[in-house]
Amino acid sequence: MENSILSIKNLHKKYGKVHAVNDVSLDIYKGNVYGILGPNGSGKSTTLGIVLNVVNKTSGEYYWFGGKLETHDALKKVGAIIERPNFYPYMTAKENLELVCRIKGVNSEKVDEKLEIVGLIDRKNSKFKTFSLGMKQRLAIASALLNDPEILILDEPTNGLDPQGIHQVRDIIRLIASQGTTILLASHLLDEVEKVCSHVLVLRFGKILYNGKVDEMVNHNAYFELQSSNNQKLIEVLKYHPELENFEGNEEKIIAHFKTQVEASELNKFFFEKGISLNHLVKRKQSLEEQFLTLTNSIETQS
Amino acid sequence: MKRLLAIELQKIWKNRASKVLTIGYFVILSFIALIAAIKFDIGIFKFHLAEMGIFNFPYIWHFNTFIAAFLKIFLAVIIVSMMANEYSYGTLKQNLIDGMSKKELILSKFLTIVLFAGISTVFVFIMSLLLGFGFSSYTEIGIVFSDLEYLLAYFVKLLGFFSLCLFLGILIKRSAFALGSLFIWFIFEMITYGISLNQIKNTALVDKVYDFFPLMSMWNLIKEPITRLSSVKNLQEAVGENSIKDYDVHFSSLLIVLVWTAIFVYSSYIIIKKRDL
Repeated sequence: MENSILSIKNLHKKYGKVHAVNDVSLDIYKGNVYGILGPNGSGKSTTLGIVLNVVNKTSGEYYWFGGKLETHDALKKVGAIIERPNFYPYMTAKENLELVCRIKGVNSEKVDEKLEIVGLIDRKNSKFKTFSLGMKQRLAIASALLNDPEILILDEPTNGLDPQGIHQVRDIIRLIASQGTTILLASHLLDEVEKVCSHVLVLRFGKILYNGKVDEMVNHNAYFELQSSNNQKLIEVLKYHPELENFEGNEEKIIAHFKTQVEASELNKFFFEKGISLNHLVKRKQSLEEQFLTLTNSIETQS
Repeated sequence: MKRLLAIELQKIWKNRASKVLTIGYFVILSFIALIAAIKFDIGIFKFHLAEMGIFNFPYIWHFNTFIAAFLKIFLAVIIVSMMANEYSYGTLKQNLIDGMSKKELILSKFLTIVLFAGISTVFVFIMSLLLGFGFSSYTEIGIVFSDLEYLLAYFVKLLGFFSLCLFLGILIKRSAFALGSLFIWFIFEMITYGISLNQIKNTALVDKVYDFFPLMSMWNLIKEPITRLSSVKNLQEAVGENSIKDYDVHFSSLLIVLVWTAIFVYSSYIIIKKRDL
């Protein structure tokens, strides 16, 4: 249990009648990358708000670093950004980070280094209010890194960014993850979580739907996208494939599911031998997004 | 403690509006010295304020602290906005996430208030000392440093008022509305005081009750000094009005304001603690 960074037990939060967080438990250990997934309003931010000392819990417990530290002292070893970047607009990037250093009680010598990581070193003397949203978000990440945190908590880090900004932020996250920092990433963007996380917690209406490894959630039931110049003929031939489970055909592409693992090369050979040359053959895994929708929908139909 | 003050002062000092207001406050405060220059020469009627004894020790302590206290509204604006800004920028949340405890947060604001009140008091002390040595008829050390309790009262008055501003800033979250409600509260105390005086004929009783109201208790710390001036007194006696007024700083008034200060600061802490940010 030495490696326990955060342990949440049966956490509840009620806003009047709304049960925003309903019996959430989660254990975070050193070195892993965790994701909290859920649609907007599913209780992700509230859960993070509680462990970050800005929202009061209704009941339940949480312990930072095995419960040895007071929450606010523990937070000095944590780097976190919540929803939108919050800084003093009239101060420059550098001054804002120096202020954070003062609050965290760390030396401000790392300010330049962290600004370098997020690519803002050239703008360090510009006021925060002159920054674009992407730059603000990157500054927030730099700020969260100032104390070389044991864990980095990111709540919707790419929310509202343009594609380029999303790309930059993801690159930074990947870089940090590769250095062995524990990360907790809350997002409603599933591919984001799929790409960087090893463990995932799926929330909906404040309840846990799934808690475990990403690999185990993404089943290996892969499928193929097929296309040839004559799709009619392709379908005819496909029906004779011994392992075929089902297929959906539309004008453009045919999606085929097989009962067992089929390699792309085998399938290609199969069609070629039947006299069909494919101009499109892609093997796809069902993405976390589809898994997620299946998971959340099945709960919805149950209730 | 130094860390908390450093954090808060950086927030205030880097903000241009706050900086201008702070500097403006001290500049205007030193304008009190210009009262010395007020001079009217209308034929045979000569009027020179500095020579009427307003800068005589120890009266100057009373006079200057009373006048200087009016300017506290400048610093009040800074204090209200320093709190309201934390809400509107979302930095209150961020400071907590960065590892400041809620207690530290309130403490850092309170320390700033103490510092402001302290600097202002020292400023008034030095200014009065200089003015006094320039214009006072008496400069014996014993007289110069008598009646210094007016400075203590001044400090406590600012402390109490700023704590009220802090509390309103935290409670209301918007600087304009917080200052507005401060004004409304002021009017409320005024009007109810006036009505009570009218309805209840017992002036002493009404005064006693209103001594416990926050703004009234601060006002009562330093009584108006104008009627104490010997030349004004002479005038009053000539008109036949013989008032024996108590101009002293009372320990009980100090205590009431300090209790209010404690209430405001503690309630601020409770609000921050209970509120979901």
